[in-house]
Amino acid sequence: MRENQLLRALGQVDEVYITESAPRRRQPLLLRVAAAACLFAGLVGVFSLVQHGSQSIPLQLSSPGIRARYVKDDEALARLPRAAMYSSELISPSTGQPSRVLRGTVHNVQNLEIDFGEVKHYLAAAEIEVWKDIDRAAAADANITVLLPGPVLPAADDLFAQLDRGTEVLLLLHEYRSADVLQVEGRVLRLDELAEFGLFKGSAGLFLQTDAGLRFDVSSYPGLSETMSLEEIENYFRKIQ
Amino acid sequence: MDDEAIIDLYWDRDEKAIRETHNKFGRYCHSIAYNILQNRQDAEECVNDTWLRVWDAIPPQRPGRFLAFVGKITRNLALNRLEAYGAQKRGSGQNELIFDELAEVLPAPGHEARIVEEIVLTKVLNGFLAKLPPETRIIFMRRYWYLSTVREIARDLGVGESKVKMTLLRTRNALQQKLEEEGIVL
Repeated sequence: MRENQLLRALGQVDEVYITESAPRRRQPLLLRVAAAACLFAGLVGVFSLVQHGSQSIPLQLSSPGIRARYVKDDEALARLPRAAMYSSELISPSTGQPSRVLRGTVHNVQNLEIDFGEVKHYLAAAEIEVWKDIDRAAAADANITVLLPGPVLPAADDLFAQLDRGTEVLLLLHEYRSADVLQVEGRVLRLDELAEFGLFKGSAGLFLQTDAGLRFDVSSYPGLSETMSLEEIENYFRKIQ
Repeated sequence: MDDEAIIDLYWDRDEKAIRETHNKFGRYCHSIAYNILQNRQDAEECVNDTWLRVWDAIPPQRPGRFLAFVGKITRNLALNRLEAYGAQKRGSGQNELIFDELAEVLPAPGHEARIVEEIVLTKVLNGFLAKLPPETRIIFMRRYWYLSTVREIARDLGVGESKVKMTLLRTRNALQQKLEEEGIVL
């Protein structure tokens, strides 16, 4: 079997890498609690710095010179012209069918800055805990990352602003392959380096169950305007798939 | 007891060497075997077989990195046992997912080219691993050398499961590209 061959070949790699990656023996709970208590004070100080910092995303398959990082300064993002921020056609096809329809719960959302040099694009990545794949018989149980067509700004009056942690969602998704790229200034960004999926057709691929009721882009689905629950939305997509 | 002292016991043909090796690396080797075989009894037998192999190998060998040395023996024994069980056994547990992930990366060479291909492949893998950032390399090795679950890797490294999955996906893509560049046809 070819995968066995790769496993065998990997087994013979330099012992430095085997030692480096060896699982560390977990300490007893009492020691871990004590260590955590000792570190807590220091972490409190570091936390405030991290809040205003950023974390870069390694890009290995995209063109050199592109930089991607998570950004946390919502106020700075809010000052950007909004028309320039949302670019759904850039992150997923504008025609065809979604490759997956999933239900799950929002676990985390982080804004992204993609710096192509002269031009910067702002997107967001949502971590979703999936518990149902409506195209497939088997129940799903996994976390996925979904690229959103613009940054998520809590103060904004749009669907993305309601993607709070714990929100139940139904998502139409485009699964990224190597051919899915964002090309700017002659530089090519492989989207599968940012996320496993892109939201299909922007806000038209997003359905949320919020405390205030079901939220989705009604203008894209006028026939569903009376719909009250994600179950009804799910049934709708089951019928048309 | 440090590794050098244990190795000295082997060179002295002192059977305490096996007990000391078991004390120091028993849990480590058991986790490797269990991740592959998904069966505690099989894993224990693999670990016991490992000590016999180590006893036979030292002397004449004198391993520089004893942990990696015993780990490699356990891993090979466990993979041999898994192969002997055949595809039916392979499908149990989380390993099927790992095999599927690897199947996307590598071509299937002819049987007669196997030994040469493995040597070439290992060389390419060493070059590939050397260029990875340390965290990425550790995540990759934990998944495909130690066959750890995504959840275990995330827990041990203190990162989200999603990050581990994305790192693995990107690294598999990069490896696929590297193999193509090296002329290992997909």
